[in-house]
Amino acid sequence: MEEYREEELTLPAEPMLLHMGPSHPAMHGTVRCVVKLDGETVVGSDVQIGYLHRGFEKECEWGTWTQVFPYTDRLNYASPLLNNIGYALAVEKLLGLQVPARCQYIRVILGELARICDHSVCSAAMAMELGAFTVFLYLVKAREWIFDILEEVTGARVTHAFCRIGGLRWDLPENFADRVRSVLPKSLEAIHECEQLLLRNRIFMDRTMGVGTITPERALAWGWTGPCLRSTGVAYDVRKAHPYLVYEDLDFDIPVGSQGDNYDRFVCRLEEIRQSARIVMQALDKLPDGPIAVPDDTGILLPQKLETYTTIERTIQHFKIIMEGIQVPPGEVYSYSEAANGELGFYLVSNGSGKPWKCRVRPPCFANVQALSELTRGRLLPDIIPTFGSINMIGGECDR
Amino acid sequence: MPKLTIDGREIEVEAGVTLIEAARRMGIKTPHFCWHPELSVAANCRMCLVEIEKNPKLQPACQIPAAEGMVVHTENPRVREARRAIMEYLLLNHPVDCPICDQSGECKLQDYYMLYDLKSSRLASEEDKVRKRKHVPFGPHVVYDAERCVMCTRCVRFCAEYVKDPMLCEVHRGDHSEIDVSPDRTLEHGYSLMTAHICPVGALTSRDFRFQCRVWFLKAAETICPGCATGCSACLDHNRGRAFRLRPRVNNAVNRCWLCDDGVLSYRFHNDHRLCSPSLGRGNPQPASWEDALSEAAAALGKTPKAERAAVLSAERTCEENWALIVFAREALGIERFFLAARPDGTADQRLRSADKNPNRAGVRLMLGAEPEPMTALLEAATAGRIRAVIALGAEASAAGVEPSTGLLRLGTVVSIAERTGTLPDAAHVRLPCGSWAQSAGTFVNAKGMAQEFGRAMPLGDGLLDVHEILARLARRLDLSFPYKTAAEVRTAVAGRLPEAGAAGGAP
Amino acid sequence: MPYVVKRPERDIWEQSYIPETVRGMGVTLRHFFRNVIGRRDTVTILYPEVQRPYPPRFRGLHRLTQRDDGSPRCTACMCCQTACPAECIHIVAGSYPDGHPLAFVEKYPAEFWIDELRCVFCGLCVEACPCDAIRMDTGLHARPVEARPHLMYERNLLLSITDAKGDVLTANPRKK
Repeated sequence: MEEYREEELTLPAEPMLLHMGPSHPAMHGTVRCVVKLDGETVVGSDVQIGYLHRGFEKECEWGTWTQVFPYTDRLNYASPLLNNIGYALAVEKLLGLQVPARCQYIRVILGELARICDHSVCSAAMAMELGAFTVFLYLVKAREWIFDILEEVTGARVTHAFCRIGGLRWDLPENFADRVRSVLPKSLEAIHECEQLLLRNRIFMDRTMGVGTITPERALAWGWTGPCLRSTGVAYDVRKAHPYLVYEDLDFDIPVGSQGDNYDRFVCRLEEIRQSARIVMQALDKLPDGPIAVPDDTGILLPQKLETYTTIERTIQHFKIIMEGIQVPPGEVYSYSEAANGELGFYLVSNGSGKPWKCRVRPPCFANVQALSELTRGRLLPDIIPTFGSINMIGGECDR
Repeated sequence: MPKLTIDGREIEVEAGVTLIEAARRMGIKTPHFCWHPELSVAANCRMCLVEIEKNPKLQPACQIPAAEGMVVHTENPRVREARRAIMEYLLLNHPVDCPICDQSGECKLQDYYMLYDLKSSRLASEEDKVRKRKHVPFGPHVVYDAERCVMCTRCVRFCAEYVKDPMLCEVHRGDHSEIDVSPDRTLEHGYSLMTAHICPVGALTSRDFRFQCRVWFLKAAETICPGCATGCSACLDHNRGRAFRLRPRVNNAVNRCWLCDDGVLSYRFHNDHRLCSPSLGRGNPQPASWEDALSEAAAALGKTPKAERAAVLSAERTCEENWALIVFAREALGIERFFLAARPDGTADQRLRSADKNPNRAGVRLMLGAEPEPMTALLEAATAGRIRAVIALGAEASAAGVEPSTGLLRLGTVVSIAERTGTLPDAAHVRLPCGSWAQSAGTFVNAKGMAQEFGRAMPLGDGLLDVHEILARLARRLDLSFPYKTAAEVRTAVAGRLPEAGAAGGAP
Repeated sequence: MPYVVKRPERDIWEQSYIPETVRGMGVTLRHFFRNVIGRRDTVTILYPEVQRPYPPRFRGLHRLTQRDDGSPRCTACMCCQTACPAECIHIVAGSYPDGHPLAFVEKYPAEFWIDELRCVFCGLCVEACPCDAIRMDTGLHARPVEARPHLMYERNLLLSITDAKGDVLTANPRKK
């Protein structure tokens, strides 16, 4: 029998292609990552998105402006209210409408609660993929309390469809402020516990510090926004740079990172949860009384129900809005807001009728995911997991 | 020619043109209820009030003729307030009927409220509204609701001026005014559905269309009415493969903007008694596949000697379909005798209705190049045994004074290409279903000799084929050639035989 | 103001991993003892034996509201069919004949189908109804069925469902 010496054996030298996803537990949001491996080192990767493409933009052209709201819920389904708010702001910009103060405050409060939910679940998923299942359950528990509040306000846990063009669907229930004030500290405590479990944990630090690093220049070149960009040190937040709603009157800070690696992204998100909680508490204190929608005389909203039942005038208005949709004057607008993943833009084109002509979404995580192959090049295969988790690609938003 | 200024823009019009018409020519839409371009001016709704400089009161634009140097404003605060006030008065006693009213979606009150009002009601309670009679039948076709009526008197003027039978009148006074039919009369002068058509609100509605479909679900397609030889221009409203009504389309050469009752109801030619699939067998037809039916038809026609074959053209079908059958009959089957299947004559009047209830008799004549033989001749020949096989287009075939079915049953073979049951398909051995007039694109030539082309109003349903396609497949089965593959080729061939657009009576 | 997030140093405390293990176990054991001995802090419930009540605004299965005499308040205006983004409502209108006690209402739904499988429970139909005839306050979620047609709810079934408190009320004060 011949003896083989290790050095003489020729191993295959070409890289191996490994398909990760789309149905892979770590590729949450259905994305396929075709990874070129040299041993365990990632030589290159091809990130293929689009598995959750459902034709959102085409579907918006079918119905009226109001019928788009259930579709927006299903964009970033971890924080649906932020999508509702972004779309409502875009159409209101096209109409030249300003909603009343109470509506603005409620939108801010609910938007920030949604942001807390999104960041919680993103951090939870990332931690779980690194093996920290307890952290996942703690953060999902924190989110669960907030979902209960959102269900009491909107009627559903995820598919809210709560905003309307020109206002909101309903006012807040009576005990909303008390519920939030009792629940938020509990959620923050759960998050604090997760920080205690993970942030100085050697295994966590080894797997996330220095992994998936990107420089601010490269991040800006890729079009990054949101916590991913802020983790590199660039302090760009649409709420501060181009304030909308009542963010100017509220006091909050922007956490930024220094290295732009997975660790910074993770911690930035958890810090943003704290800042969001600050915003919510301030807004609850400042919440004014008043109407939650523009007056019925603007002809934009469905009128008050009791008047609709009993007067012909408001019945006519109700019917015209349902049959034909809101008459938005012709024009185009690009409206942007800070969603959980970054700058969520809506580019709307109206041809003057009650149905949108074009509704283009600028998804924040689309730009973030672009850089995934650059972030993972030269790293090991297991590094893809926390990197992908920290980018927070939400399939519904990225693929629409 | 007086020159005047409306909203800062100058326009020159002929003497006698009213301000509302002058504004329309400039693209300015003046709201109105009672004005109608084809009826006399009543100026009772006051919705078209505009401001004319040097005139202290607002004037109705539908009544004032344009004068030299007039300066008119239609969009200033005074006019806007007038419009808002008119809407408030009209809606004050208007019932909360939008959910049950068929006019929803094409109601002027709804449209103008959104454009000119948008204020809430100042009435203390709905109970204070005046109560009047509701869903009163005015005739076999029209239902009246007095609470919804805005007393614009369009219906009254229409009956008096167009139909020349003033059977509708205004009764009572003030906010108890209503429209009523003269005692012992009913609204059935043959154009009653036009009163419902021109009613700007849901006061007069069509009984036939009542609650069938909401107006905003309907899609409109331009077509020609298939009801008689006048060939009025119409719009077919349909949804999900079902037709609901015909509405008149403006055509100054034929029907101006009116349609008779039979015309409005002729959408039933599409909906009713349709043949959905090929079938074989006389008396008790059995559904069959296209292959079997076409083979059976080809075999039956093929084995009859040429001299004993005939073709039946249809005055109900388009020129293109009849031409395809003529070409097929002559070239593939060697047929020399052509007969005409047509609907029986009916009532005629001086306005729109022709006695000839077929849309395309003149067209068939042009396609054949001669007068086709009447149905009575076919029945005679069939009874005598001189003709044994017939390929027939169309459903209805009437013969003067004779019941056609006995004669047709003497024929050994009848291949029927039709869209619905009728004399010919009922007597046929093989039924090959085609589309209705609404599902075909083609040309009708009306009694005045005008060729009017129309497109497919509704898509061809499953299991149906175009007439030229059926004939092409039959020709294949007979191993003979048929020159046309597409409808466009048939159209080109037909074009040479039709009068020019613009000849014999005016542009279609 | 932007502030930079903290990054812990990798000194001997972190690298040895022992203090962190102690801290981590402390967190989890605190939860463990709290849940076993003290107050329960979990969000898990033993469903279906224990059920969380749905809030009043919960959007569940639909119901058609009734008038005082049990007839549907719905007048088949088709607003809900128009507003539904999932096109899951199908209505065929009927006309009350002359002489019927409800002839003054004129229109009613002869057929009213909701395909609860297609429904996305967005509530746009409830918002669109000008008569408060359809509501989603039943407090019931769509239960699993064994065949698809079982979740096609037709008119009489929808009329018979009550709201979460067992009432068949409507907020519409009109008689029509």
